[in-house]
Amino acid sequence: MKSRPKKPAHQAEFEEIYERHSREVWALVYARWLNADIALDIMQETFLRLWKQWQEGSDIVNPRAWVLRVARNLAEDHAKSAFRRFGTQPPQTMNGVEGRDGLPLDGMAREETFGQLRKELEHLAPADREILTLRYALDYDTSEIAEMLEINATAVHMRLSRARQRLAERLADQGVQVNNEQ
Amino acid sequence: MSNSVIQNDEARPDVDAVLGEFFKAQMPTPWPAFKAPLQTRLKRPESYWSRYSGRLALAACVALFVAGYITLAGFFPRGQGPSGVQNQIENHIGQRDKSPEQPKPAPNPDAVPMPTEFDR
Repeated sequence: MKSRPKKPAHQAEFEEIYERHSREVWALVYARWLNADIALDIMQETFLRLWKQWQEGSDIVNPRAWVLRVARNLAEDHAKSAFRRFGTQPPQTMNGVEGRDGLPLDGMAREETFGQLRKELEHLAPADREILTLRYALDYDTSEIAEMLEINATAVHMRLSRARQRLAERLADQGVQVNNEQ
Repeated sequence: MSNSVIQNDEARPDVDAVLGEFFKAQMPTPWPAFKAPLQTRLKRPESYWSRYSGRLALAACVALFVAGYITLAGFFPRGQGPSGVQNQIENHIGQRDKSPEQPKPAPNPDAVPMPTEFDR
């Protein structure tokens, strides 16, 4: 992993880091909670904290590792902390985040499939969900996932195949026929 | 977003396609940009001078008052009033008069007592 200069960054530099790693943070939190809104809130809170750290001149050698660690902690604390209600910012700060509503009727069948898929994902181990989210939300390949999660690429490949196989079987049990041929 | 999952129902859509559509549908679009919070003005640490200026001013006032009192007391020493009467009065305020009592006059044996009504 790259290390960056220790001086407080300018906004452009910060935005570059946000652009590069915010989706990873979102994916990690989404894999934990399977809730896009919670993931978005925690992602923004994470980068807000990073921003404050930079403003105070804190020495953060590896921002990527820092935000991933903070996001994991926030995701774990989400259920029990006051952050669940308000975060560290007033609630109106998040008002600019747009929702993903307005599903048309012709998307109902797809939503039903997605609902079944979501239920099955809940039964998977969080580590498997992390791999699936990084693979399919961010299109990361095995080596990128392995680097980010700091695990073996072979292990990533095996767990990905196993999770995919399990999902295909369970969806088939519910009448959603999918191919699992690679 | 396409509805390939629904449209390809008969053809048993690939699990990769289903997962890809599902996860991509969950991601916010467009991806929100980071908005830096407004700069909050941090409270500047107080300097030594500003922290103790009030106390120093009070101490200076007290010192000036004492110095003035002592200086003025030098110009007007006690016990040198214009007549000395005032000083005498002040020294005896709150004290009993300790002057010796006047002795009673001794009876005069040669004196003729005055007749009283009983003598008549």
